[in-house]
Amino acid sequence: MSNLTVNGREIPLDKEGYLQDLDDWSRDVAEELAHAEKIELTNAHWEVIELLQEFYRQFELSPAMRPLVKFIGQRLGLEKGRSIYLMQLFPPSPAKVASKIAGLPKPTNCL
Amino acid sequence: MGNQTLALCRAAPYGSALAREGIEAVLASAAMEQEVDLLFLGDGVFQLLDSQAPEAIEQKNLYRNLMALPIFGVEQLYVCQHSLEQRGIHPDQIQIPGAEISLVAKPGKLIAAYQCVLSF
Repeated sequence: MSNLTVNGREIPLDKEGYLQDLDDWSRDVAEELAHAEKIELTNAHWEVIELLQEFYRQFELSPAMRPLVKFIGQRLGLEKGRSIYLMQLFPPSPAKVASKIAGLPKPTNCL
Repeated sequence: MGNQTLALCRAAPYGSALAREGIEAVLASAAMEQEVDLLFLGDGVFQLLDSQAPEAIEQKNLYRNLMALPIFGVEQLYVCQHSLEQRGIHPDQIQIPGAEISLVAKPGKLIAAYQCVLSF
């Protein structure tokens, strides 16, 4: 996978499907990235995507699973700050998949 | 209790890649559920100042990464008191929300208490 076509525009992706240029992100791009992961975005997904982008603005890095769970828990409550909840939304690897859809770089500390 | 690790942060934030490499190693360890404490000493104490403006050299802000430490579960930071004094930095100037920063007068004694020490 090297390119994503969104509204007639070619968006370059790296070999793992992450955006090459983070400025290319938009909600339409997110829908297409999610589609490639066979995920239909709902409000619950968007809630997590927006928090991921906030995390990146604040710390300038993509979270691995553990900090992601903790951050979501702080913001949305313990009911949602659980790996099983995030696993259901962004299978099979929430930190990687949700970062990709949110237009963040791949978490460097994620194996 | 498992192996307790101490990471020494001795390099200024942007003079080389060492400071960033160190923080990334700590964050990666923390993400793998390893317990890591940090000791800032020498020029490494400059990493803790919040007035970094690395955009000018197209670098990411290392201090922002440090602010993520508590959410990765790294909450204990030690800072060499003597290194701060030598560089004219007041302890009030170094704050990481959510982390406990302890000034250390005898770093050697602290280091000796750890089973595993990484130096960056």
